[in-house]
Amino acid sequence: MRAAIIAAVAMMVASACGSTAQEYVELPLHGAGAGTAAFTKGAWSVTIERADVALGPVYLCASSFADVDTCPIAYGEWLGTAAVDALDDAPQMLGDARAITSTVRTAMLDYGRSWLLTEPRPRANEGVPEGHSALFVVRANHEDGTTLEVHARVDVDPSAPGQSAVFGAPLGTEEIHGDEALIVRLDPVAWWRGVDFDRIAAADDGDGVVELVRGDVEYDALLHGMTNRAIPAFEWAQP
Amino acid sequence: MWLRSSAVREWCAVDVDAIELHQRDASGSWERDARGARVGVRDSVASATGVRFGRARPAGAGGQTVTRRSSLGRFRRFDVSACACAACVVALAASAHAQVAREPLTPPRLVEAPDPHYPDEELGSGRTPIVVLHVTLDATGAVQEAHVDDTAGEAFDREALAAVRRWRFEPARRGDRAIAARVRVEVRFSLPDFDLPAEPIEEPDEHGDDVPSFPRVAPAQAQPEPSPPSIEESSPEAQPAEPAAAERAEPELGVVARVDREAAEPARTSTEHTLDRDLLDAAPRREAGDLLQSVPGMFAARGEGDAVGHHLMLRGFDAGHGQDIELTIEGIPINLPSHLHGQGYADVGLVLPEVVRAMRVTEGVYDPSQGDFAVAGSVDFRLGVRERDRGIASRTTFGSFGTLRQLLLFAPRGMDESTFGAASYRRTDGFGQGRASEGGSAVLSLGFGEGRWHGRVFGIAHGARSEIPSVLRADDVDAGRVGFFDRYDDPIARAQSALSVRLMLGATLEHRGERGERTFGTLWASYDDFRFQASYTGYTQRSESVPAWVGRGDLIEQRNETIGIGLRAAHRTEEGQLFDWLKASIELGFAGRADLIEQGQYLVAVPENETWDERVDAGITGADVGGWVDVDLRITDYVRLRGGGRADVLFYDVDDRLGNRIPSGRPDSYIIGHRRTAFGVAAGPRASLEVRPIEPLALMIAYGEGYRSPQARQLADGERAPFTKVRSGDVGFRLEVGGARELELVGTAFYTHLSEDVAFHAEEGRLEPVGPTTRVGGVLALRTQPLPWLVGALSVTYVHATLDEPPPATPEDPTPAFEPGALLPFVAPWVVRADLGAHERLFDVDGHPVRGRVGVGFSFLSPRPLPFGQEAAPVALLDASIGASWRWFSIGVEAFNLLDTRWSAAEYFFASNWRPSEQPSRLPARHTSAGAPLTILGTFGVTL
Repeated sequence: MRAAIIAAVAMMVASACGSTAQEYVELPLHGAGAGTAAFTKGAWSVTIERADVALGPVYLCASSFADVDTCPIAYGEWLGTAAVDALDDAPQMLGDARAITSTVRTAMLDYGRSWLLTEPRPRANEGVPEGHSALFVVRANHEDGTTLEVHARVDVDPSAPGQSAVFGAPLGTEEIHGDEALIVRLDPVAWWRGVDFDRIAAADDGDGVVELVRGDVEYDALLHGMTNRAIPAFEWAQP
Repeated sequence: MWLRSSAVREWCAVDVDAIELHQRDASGSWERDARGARVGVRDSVASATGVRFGRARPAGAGGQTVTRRSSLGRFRRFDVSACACAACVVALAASAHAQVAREPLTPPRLVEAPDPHYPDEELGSGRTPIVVLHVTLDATGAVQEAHVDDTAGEAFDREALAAVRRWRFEPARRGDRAIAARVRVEVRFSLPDFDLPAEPIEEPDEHGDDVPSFPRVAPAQAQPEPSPPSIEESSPEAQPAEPAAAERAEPELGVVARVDREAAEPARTSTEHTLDRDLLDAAPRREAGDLLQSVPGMFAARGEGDAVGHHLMLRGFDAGHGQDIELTIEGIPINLPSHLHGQGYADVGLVLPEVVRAMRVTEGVYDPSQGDFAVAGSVDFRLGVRERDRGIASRTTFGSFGTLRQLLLFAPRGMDESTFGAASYRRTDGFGQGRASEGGSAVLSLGFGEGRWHGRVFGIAHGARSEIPSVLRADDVDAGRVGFFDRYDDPIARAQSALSVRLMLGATLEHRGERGERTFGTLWASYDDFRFQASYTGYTQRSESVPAWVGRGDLIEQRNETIGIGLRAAHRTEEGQLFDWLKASIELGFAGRADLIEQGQYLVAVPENETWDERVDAGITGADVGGWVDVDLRITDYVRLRGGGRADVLFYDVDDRLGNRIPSGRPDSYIIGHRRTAFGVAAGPRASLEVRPIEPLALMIAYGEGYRSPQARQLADGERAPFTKVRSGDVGFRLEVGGARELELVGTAFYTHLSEDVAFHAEEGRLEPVGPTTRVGGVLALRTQPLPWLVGALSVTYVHATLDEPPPATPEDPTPAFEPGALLPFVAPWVVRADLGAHERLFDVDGHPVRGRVGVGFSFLSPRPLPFGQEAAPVALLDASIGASWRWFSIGVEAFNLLDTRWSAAEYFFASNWRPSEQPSRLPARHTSAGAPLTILGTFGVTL
């Protein structure tokens, strides 16, 4: 009898073993800027005066290159959208991402505009400043004294239904335990470095104010910077 | 003894060609008594129900022996007295005279006679002895004492006594007063011929009571008036008469005990069970799936509506819809190979629970005759209607949620158990949204044969259509966005439904020889049509055919049509005495089946069911030809070694019409389609060793290797069919006290390893490989029938089931849900089941007994692991029933989930999106399919 009891207890104990129990955890998600607002490009000295950028939703994936096909299941996600002052390098709370304790490698995200599977075209999410992915005001001073004030209301749309605007953003191989925070760092300077201010100046009609609109080459250059050349960087931090 | 006139009249009416008149003088031979009133009625032969009058019957003067083929499927021998009708008249007259002379004496009536167990140690002897017993009954009809009058050897005496002590009688009566009595009983053991349980012949008593009776009690001795009664009588307080007096005065009651197939096939392991009707009747059952609940370690639940098979779990296997359990009806497979909804898909809905007389359960794979899908074990539904349940019956059930069920049963009394017809219709609005269903089943079975030959032809038709609520996200339920018993208020959710149609035809023929040899053959044909339309994931899918088509809803349509034919045959030799200490027999068996399968899986858009993606379009021809050898070695009386091997050859011809799909964006350079063939052999040994150190205890150890056939569509051309190999080992004991039915305690520890397992994949709505798995566990099961009217069973199963090597991450599946060493998903480590039932005569109304019954069934599942390390909630369900019957009528109330526990029939963990206008969640989430809440059903029955 004693042996039977010991065996039963051992089996009960064993029943608790073998499971790699994963848990739901919450990760504080922050947005932040790169900390710089000025740069020079050629003869132009550029200062970004406003960079309100919408972020979200964000998906954290185990795959080495997160996109809609390789990340049907995410291990972490934040489904909200919020605006980040991309000129401020201090972390700005976006919300709490829900995650499962696991290993994640890459991320995909939208700039506040999503294209749902069930909708015919992309649309702005709630919380997006003025309905656009980003609002920029940039002042550029040429060595010859020319001054430009460039306005851009950028809509960064996913390329296909269900797809994210940015995919494959590296996370570093990180095991989520639930005691960490995640910072999405934006670099508007890098985005604007791809813009040709000479061409913008050529489009100036004389009042020194230029607005980039969809279809402009420089608008597309900005889009390219946001989605390819300088995609958001993820940093792990203590909450 | 004098018979009441009405009784004699009914006997004559009911069974006139099977009675004869006898009178017995003081020396014991039958003749008319002084009043010309002693009438004995005896059936000269054992009926198929196993009832037989004990004494050698003298040939009646002027009588002739004739034979007729009875509807029971064997020849009856009986005498037809030339004066049979006259005898009835005489009997009536005599009875009338007797009533005038004194209070009438009613003999005891046998109302329940559980089968005796044919002694295992005598199975090879070929003997068919008779054990004569003297049985003393008290005034309640209970057996007070039994002793052997004519021995047939220790083993047979033991089993005869054990059996008789479980029998139940209605007491003898003088007038209206119950009295003690003594009867002489013959228990005849016959070699296995038919698997029909012994039952008393249904015989209406003088009140037309529909309770099975056994009034063929002959007067013992003619006595002048006032003579002592032919039944030895005493006051309730009085002690039974002395044997000498009793012998002189007692009536005779003869019963032939049949040895059924189960008894002739003793268990190879301690977890091989036969669940008989007594146990199956204990707890309330709505459908055949409920019968499976009493299998130790089994849990069955319908999570996808009434037209989709139960989700089964057995001994650490999440058997899905049957991929790990070989389910058969009289040996004919229910499992459907390469079924789209799940390999080995089996819907037991085609089995009417009322015509299941027993279930033979083999846990593990140790019997060489076990075939495809016998991974966790095998369950064989054995069809038949016991004599006491026979008649023309109508049962109407109605109750919660607009449920209506109508059953019609046609099972003429006195005929073979395997001869019956039954049909049922059921409809319900369901216990929540999207659960309405409607269906019907019909079964017709005809037993036939003579002597040692017995056969059966039967057909089963079943059809059902149901709405499906599918699953709900637990977070949506918790947030109140959808009710626990509701479905999503979405067009694709409202379009979920299932349809199943099954037709099965079978014919069996069996011969059991005088020396224990047995030959049987079975032919069968089956047609199955299955259509399933459901969405588990909401809105996540993209068309693979036209990638631009997205967001139309993940409404998966599955169609699977299977036409199958098969046969099965085996011969077991008689047991040969090789040495003084060694007896041996050998069985050679053969089984084959061929299946033509058409299947397709699509994504369809509501409301017009427009197909917007094709996932599967295939035709499969499959064949499985197997053979086995089973050697039985009895080494002294203490050791038994059985085993052999089985080999199966499988062929597949797959026409995958969507194979070699051309990726989007690439110009067409060929015509899509991929035709391929595959071949494979699965073979393995199976052996069991039984040691009986002392009589009631058997120690058993067994090892076996079985297989599960592959899903044909996953095979490559020329591939050696990668069978799932199962290796299983059991070590256990079986303790039987007072015969297996009085107390049976079994315990076993088991180990099972699968070379390739599968688990449910929500996105595809089907099973996908998850790599090798291992299970280690134990089963403790108790079955007891301490009193004839009380039966109970308790089983506790524990298993530790782990994933050994789940598929690694790939670009296509970078986030696998399973990790090495993780607990196998969906498998409950602990499964507990308890059944308790009682039935007894309560009181009389208008001279007819009112019989009551109560029963409870309790099932418990411990928390089940889910993918991603999550856990499903535990399940505890209590069912109860109460009922009563009087004359032809019966009423009952059955309560399922009496405690109104909120539980999930199925729980999964995956990503879904049921809010298509919001940001889609890709995080795996718990999904549930609600189990039924408290359900109360009332049944009214009439049995003629």
